[in-house]
Amino acid sequence: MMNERISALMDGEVDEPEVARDLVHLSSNGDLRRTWDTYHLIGDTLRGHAAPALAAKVSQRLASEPTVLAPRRGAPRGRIAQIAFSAAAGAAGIALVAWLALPGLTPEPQQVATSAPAGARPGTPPAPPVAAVTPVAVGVENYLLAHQSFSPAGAMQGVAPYVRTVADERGSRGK
Amino acid sequence: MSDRELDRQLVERAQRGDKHAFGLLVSKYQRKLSRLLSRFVKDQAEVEDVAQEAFVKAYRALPSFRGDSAFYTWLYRIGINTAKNYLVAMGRRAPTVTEFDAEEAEEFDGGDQLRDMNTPESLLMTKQIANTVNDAMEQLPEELRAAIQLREIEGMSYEEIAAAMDCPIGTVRSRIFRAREAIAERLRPLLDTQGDNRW
Repeated sequence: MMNERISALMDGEVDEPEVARDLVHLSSNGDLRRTWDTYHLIGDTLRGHAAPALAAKVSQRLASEPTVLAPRRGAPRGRIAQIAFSAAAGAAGIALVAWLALPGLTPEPQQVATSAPAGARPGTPPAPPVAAVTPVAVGVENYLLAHQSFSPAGAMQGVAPYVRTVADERGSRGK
Repeated sequence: MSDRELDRQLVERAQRGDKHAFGLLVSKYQRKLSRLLSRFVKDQAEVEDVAQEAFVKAYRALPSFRGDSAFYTWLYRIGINTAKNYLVAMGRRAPTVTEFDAEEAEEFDGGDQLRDMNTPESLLMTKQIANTVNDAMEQLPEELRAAIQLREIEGMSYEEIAAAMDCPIGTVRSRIFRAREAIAERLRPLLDTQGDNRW
């Protein structure tokens, strides 16, 4: 880079796309840095801003300083992106709460067992219903229904366990 | 591209580990900061120490500089706080004046005060530089002298200078560069004698 570009650069008269490239050359070349220094000295002197130079002493002190490495800051996010992120976070939160609080939303074992797997081969006999494999004793269901209030999850899960237990009871009575 | 934008790009380079980029900012603002600090610290040698310390602190604090304010405004605040801490550490009363704001800092002119407190050696060098620059200016062709005066003293943009001098912007750019080079040619032998004051 010629000195004329330094002259224009320090006056802010270089087009922005070229500035980054010029600064690379400027910061990596000692002669160009001295030119920059001299041109600024001339400007300061013309404005009556004479003062002893510090750059060399500061440079010596900085040489013993650990090099700073700041994380790069990305372009500021737009308003739409911020709203989208907020909405997505809110929806994810609601979905998590619903999943934790409403076990009724999760598939019942019977439903899972009776629906054929997507990858099942034709001709393969369907898996037997869970209820047929592990029949639930009516006595146990009555016991669970009677002790519903002692269930640790009862207060948290609302009416869903009750509905499920009643459904189980009716199903077993129908057998 | 504005002056502030140029500083921002230099700061970003320095934040990515380019110490020379920070050195370019030091070259640019060293005299301006020293003159401002001379309002708080009266001894010239102490002004230099405080200014150096302020630049080093600014370098260490670069990761926290987000560009919300101009670099010089940020540097100025660090300089003032460094000067106050220095005075307190030396058992002297830190000025109770509220920090004069950045706009006042931009316009502050303490040249006479600085000349009064310069050490003989630095005063001699300062005078030699000033005389050399003035002599070189007098020997410049009129169009070069006018162009650099409008730029450096009046702070006009190339476009404004082109309008004032009734010539293309490219001509303004060339005239200002040729003026700087002519003065720099006269200064270089003097500056080379400073040895480690150049970098």
